Amino acid sequence: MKLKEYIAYRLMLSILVIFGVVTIVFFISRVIPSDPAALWVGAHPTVEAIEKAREELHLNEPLIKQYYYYLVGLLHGDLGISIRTHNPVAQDLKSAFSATFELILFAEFIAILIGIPLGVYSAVKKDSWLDNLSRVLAISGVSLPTFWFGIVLQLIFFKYLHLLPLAGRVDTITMLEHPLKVITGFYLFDSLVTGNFVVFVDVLKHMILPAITLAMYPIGLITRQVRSMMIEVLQENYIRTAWAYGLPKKRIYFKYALKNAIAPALITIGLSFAYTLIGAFLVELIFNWPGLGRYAAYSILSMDYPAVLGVTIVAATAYVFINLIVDLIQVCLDPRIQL
Amino acid sequence: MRKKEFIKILFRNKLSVVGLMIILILLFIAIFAPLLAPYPEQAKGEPNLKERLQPPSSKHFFGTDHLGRDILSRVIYGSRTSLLIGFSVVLLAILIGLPLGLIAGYYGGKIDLIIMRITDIFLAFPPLLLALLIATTLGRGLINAILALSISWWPWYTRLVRGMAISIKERPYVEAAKGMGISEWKIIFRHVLPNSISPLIIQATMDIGSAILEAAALSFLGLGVQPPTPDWGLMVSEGKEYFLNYPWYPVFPGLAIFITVMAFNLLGDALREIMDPRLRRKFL
Amino acid sequence: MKELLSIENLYVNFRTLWGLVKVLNGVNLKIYEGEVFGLVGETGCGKSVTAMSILRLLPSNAEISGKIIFKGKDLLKKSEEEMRKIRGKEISIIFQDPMTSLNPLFKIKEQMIDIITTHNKIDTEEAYKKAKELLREVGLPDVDRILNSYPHELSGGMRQRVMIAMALSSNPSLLIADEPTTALDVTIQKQILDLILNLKEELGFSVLLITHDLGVVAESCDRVGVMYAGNIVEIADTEELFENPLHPYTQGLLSVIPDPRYKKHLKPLRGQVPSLISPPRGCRFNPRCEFVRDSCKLKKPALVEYKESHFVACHLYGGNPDD
Repeated sequence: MKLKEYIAYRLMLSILVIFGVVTIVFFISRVIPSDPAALWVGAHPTVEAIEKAREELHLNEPLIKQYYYYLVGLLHGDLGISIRTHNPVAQDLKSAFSATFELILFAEFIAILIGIPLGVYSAVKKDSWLDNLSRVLAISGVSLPTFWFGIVLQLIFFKYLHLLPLAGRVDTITMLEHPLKVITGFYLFDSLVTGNFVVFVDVLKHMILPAITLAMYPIGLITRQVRSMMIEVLQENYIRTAWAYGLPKKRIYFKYALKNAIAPALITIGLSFAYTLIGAFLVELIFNWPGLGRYAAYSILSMDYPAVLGVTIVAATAYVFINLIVDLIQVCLDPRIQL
Repeated sequence: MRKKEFIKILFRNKLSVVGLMIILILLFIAIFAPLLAPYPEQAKGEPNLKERLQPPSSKHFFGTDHLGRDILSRVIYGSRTSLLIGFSVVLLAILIGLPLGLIAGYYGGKIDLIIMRITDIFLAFPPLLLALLIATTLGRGLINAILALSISWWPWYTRLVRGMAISIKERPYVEAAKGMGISEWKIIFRHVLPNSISPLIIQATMDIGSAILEAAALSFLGLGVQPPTPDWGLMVSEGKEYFLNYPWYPVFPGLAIFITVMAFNLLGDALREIMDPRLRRKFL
Repeated sequence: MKELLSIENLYVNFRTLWGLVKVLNGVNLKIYEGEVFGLVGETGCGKSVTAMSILRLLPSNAEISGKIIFKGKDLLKKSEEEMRKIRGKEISIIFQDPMTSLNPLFKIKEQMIDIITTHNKIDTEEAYKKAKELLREVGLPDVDRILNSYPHELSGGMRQRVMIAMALSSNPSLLIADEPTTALDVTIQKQILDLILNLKEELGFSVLLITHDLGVVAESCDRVGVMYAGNIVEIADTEELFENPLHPYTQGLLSVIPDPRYKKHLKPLRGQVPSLISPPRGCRFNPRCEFVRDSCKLKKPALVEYKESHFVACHLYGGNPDD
């Protein structure tokens, strides 16, 4: 199979899986013991208003037909109307998406930057104090309750050290004084490209705490996985060959061993992306970050099922595609994988 | 591996000993909570409005919460909730996942295909998301949180057990048993199951920690345990409203979650390292 | 003949969970310039550990003592960096398993160029040319294609030739060949062995050939050392060893050769290889030896020259036990 065919095949599989996800999510959400029509109408419902809302939301029709309407809408990028905000869900999600994605990418960047070298050194110096330290750090990372760690960081860096802002994505007044031209929706990127350094620094300051909070779990996962893969690889015969031919230590570790260790560790990195996606649900709530997670949390609490549905589908789709990309990178890294 | 060697390695690894000790202490605390908690009535929810949001003192080591309840007592009682959730989620997930994995792996063919495609879809959800959704649907509460988590967790066990079952059924003694006309269920229970047990234990140990962590997240989002039940996640959630002025309120319950989850992970990690021959150092 | 390598009283222990494994128990041997020295013995007798000791590539749980004199200098006293410059340049090695000895994720050219540029001050382009030359020298066709291949795209025999090319890339004085043909097809085994011997004639390096195959020894070695449980028990010229084996263990080993010429009065071995955690006292072969005497259980026999250039470590031949 050629690479192109393989990608096409995997894309098709992914779409099937997403279809399965949509189906499960749709039917689960319809069992929610609440009356969406009543929620839709708001604080002072009348019988007529509720009946009218039922009509508008297709709630009187059989479930299977509602499902059909939903699928048709989905194909047109329509995720329904949020009961809570009365905006189209797709529109709400769009603005939230870039906020979340910027945060996740930043967190993942930190995690990779710390996790890979730490895992490598830990494996190279197996059973040394450095190894033990990094193991404790890695296990702490996957054991920390994200929401609690966020609070602890806020206490330290906002309350006691006065170093970083408490919450939010950017300071409103700074934004007013130095308006940011939004290009991609990634504030760090946009402010840098447009040369708006005041906003850049402000956004960065806001980003640090939530990103570190979010990065802890992936740091743990990646460090642990890279360590155990490296330990395994360092015992391979081809590494013995590299030593036997007098190659320098650094090149053996970071070129010959790491490439072999990183291919399987990529799965973990992909998985860790998924964790940050869900971690964002909690972190955004703590740091009042205007992203998907905060939106999802509010939607769940107010039983806003079109919104919940939409967020779930977006998150699951992102997850499926991250996994796909990971698989493709692996194919590129390892010439032995048969397509 | 011989039992003696196993224990020797386990105790050589200091981190695993630490994990094991913490778990034993936690079990002790959970069992004897009524004797250990200074204010058992407050732990169960009785308000004490005269002493609201008191900082830690000799009377209240961890301070008091917004209803004046002793946080230490509630953290002690909270160990019961957490351990209950952790163990029952994993147990339920294994009860669903293990038989399905055995069937899929042992029989193969169409039934394997169907079971594995179902797990694929469940695993297509990022962790916790499905549990969130199910918890929203089922409604709030301890039992529903447990159900939600186990429903989203079983596919992991199905996969694990299926892999084991496939590799074990090829082994000569299973082939021999088949040849002797021993019934398939007997083969599964005598040979396949016991041989899948050690990876299962490793996974379960780590999963108890993760389940406690995810249950705490559900509670934090208001989808899990409801007040006045003493629960660490819920306490952090309530404490979050007060944390800038009364930091002790969310900090101590959160610390309890952290230490507990860490203990299970330390032990699980050590078990994994011992049982996975690839991670042990090669000699000669 | 000039001495190239001399191993004196080499002891190697591995610290393990189960106790100290005494792998090498005072190994003595010499390798001269331009010769092929064969090291034979059963699996686990310490042949490969001896080879890895020469390169100082033992795992970190190893304790090593003794002397390994190479070109007049003790390798065990060299710094790690000095040692690194010797590996692959002055002393090279080819391993048993060509299937796993090349890095699967890098093209042959990347791996070869890296080794060549590590030991020679030349740029990548020259190194590529040199790699091509080397591959031709080891008898590979279509060298450009091979350089641009990944290891899994080559056959076992081709990979072993690539390994040999890598090993010889900096004109080493000593080539250690650790069971170089064991993992290969029978038809290819001879080709690879002949290749090594031809290159040796051409380039003039010495070979330490490690094998458990007495046929290979008979065919290619000038001298042979026989190893048993971490000791060298006998060293002699190949012909002499096959015709007049002195040590009971050597006699046992040779008894399995289906050639009637060597079968005069030899009896097959009985018993098993001893545990190296608690090896037998005295001569490590004593539990299996049919000529065992009291002294064998008390003192380790020293390796002495019984006849001219025929060494044996056995109390039967009056080895001085105090040595």
